[in-house]
Amino acid sequence: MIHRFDVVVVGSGAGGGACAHALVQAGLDVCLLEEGQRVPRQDQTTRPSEMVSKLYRGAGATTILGRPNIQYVEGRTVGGSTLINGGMCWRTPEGVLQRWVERLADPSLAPEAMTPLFEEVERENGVALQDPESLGLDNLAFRDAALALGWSLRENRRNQRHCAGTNHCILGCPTGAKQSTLESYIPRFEAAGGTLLASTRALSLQRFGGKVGGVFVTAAEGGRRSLIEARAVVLCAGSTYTPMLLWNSGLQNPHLGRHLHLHPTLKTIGLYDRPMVMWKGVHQSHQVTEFIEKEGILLASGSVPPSILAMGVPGFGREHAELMAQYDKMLVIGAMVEDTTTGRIRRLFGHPIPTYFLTQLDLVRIKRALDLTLTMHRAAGARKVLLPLHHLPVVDLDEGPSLLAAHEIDPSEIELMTVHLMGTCRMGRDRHEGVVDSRGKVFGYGNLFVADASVFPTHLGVNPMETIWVLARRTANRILEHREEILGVGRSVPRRSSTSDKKKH
Amino acid sequence: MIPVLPSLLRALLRSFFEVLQPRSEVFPFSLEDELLVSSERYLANFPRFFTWGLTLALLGLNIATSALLLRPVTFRGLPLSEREALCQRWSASRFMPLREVMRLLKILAVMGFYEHPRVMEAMGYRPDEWIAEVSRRRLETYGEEIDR
Repeated sequence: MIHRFDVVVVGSGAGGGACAHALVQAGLDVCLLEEGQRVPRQDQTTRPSEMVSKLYRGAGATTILGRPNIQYVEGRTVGGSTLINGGMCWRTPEGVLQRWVERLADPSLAPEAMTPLFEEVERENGVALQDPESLGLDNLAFRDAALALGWSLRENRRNQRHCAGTNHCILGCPTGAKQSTLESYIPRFEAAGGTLLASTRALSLQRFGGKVGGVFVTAAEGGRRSLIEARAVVLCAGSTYTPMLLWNSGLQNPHLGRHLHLHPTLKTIGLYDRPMVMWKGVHQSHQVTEFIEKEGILLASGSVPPSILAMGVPGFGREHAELMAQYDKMLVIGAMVEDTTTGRIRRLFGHPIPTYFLTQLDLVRIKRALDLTLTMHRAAGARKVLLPLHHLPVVDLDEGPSLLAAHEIDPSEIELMTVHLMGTCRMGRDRHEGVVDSRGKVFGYGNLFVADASVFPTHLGVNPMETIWVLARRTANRILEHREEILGVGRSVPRRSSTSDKKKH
Repeated sequence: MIPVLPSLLRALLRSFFEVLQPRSEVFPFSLEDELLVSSERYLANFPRFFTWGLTLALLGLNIATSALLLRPVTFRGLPLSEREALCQRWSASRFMPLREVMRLLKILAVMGFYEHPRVMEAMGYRPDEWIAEVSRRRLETYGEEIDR
């Protein structure tokens, strides 16, 4: 007899972990699929070249095409991007939630209605401030510079249990303090009887008109395709792969793959006369909030191992070596910019190709963000600053601001990156406005849901993990509240695949 | 099992690594062989066509050198200083695909270089020692709470 799960959840990151955990705790038979492998704590090493192959999609060499090309990274491992992120946890800003309420005509998204959900996921994931001893010299320099300038600042709330400040967040967490889903939801999910299938790639969905019957999968390294049957499916594969799965399943929607927001991020590296030793201390401890509301710019420091930082240091050969020899006296300040435009995901031979073009307004914001990071470096006492600009790679602080002001930035010369891809299956009131409704149900399908950052109807302006958790929890709650209707418990689901599915596969 | 890169690609990569790898009094190391090994390991993550594409791109640059310098010479055959000048030029090119190839080569060169134990030692970068120290401290201070 073929086993049919109540729910198959695709993707084990923030959305998949939170959703699968809630469903299995309520007694459902849940299968959690993850394309990447499971890399337990003891196998997480300090060698980036080894870990990016195991933890990152495309070994970290993933690019959004446009002007400029923007590097992006996402997790492809049990735990998804929660295993490789900095663990910053912020509730969705109230203003954003209010906009969503108006846009979606759903009062249950209002801040006061969402508060209990935020509190719940924060409890489950150990969201807390850092212990003071885990702050490094670079964290303190960043904080003190902001205080000296009189800029508003907040201490990071992170999903961690007494983070030791090993600063290896981007390669996992060797102590297990960071509560990625690998450490939080997934062990509890498995203890409650959930089934985790790692190294298993979801290819497409089995569809019957307005329902899905399961997920076609294969081993991550290839092989025979097989079907995992389910009464409902929740896609949490992220903003690039969730739309791909829907396309590959023959789903049509004019908004699918569109409305891609990025939070483009730039970094500047200050060279100092005093030690910063960025590898000792937490990855990021504070954020400058002074410019979020009016200018859409968030400033933060961020520490990474030398072999990763070196990729963004200008030059090569002797020039590069002389700069990198100062690694212990470097402070990295990054700026995350709320974008005013959107990109999209396109399909090429069954693979997602993100494209995105900066607008003039975004360029102005990026220039302003660069100037703000220079101001912070000056306040922190830097000598020189390395900029992410091909034609202005290094500036002395005395002349830096004026050089930058006079420099006309060509979009193709900026080095940007992002870890926040959002909005490619956005929520809407109906299928003319979006791909899913305000609780994640795909329009036109009774038992198909999306619960990841792709459902965001707008950008957030803050790190998105906590928003993903609560939206995934809302989706899980919806399945549980309507389980008779959605799962069809007691009714048989048709077993024969449709003609279109047969053709496709 | 790490697939072996085509010998042509290895030879081309080596000629670029000789230029791109960091070198100074602080890092007086020539690590081309080690960089080839780490590149081989990293490139194994990508589909085979990616390696072919890289080989073609480097072969193209190797041959295009003679057109750029207006004399019959390949990139591999140039002295280091001339290769450096060409790499500078290509890295700052307005032609995006060329810049991307140079970016990939730089990533391969610096990722392997700064992970090498001799380089880490020269930098005073000892993450494993630090992790062991703070992990121990964490358990001493918060062990009971963490175990709950």
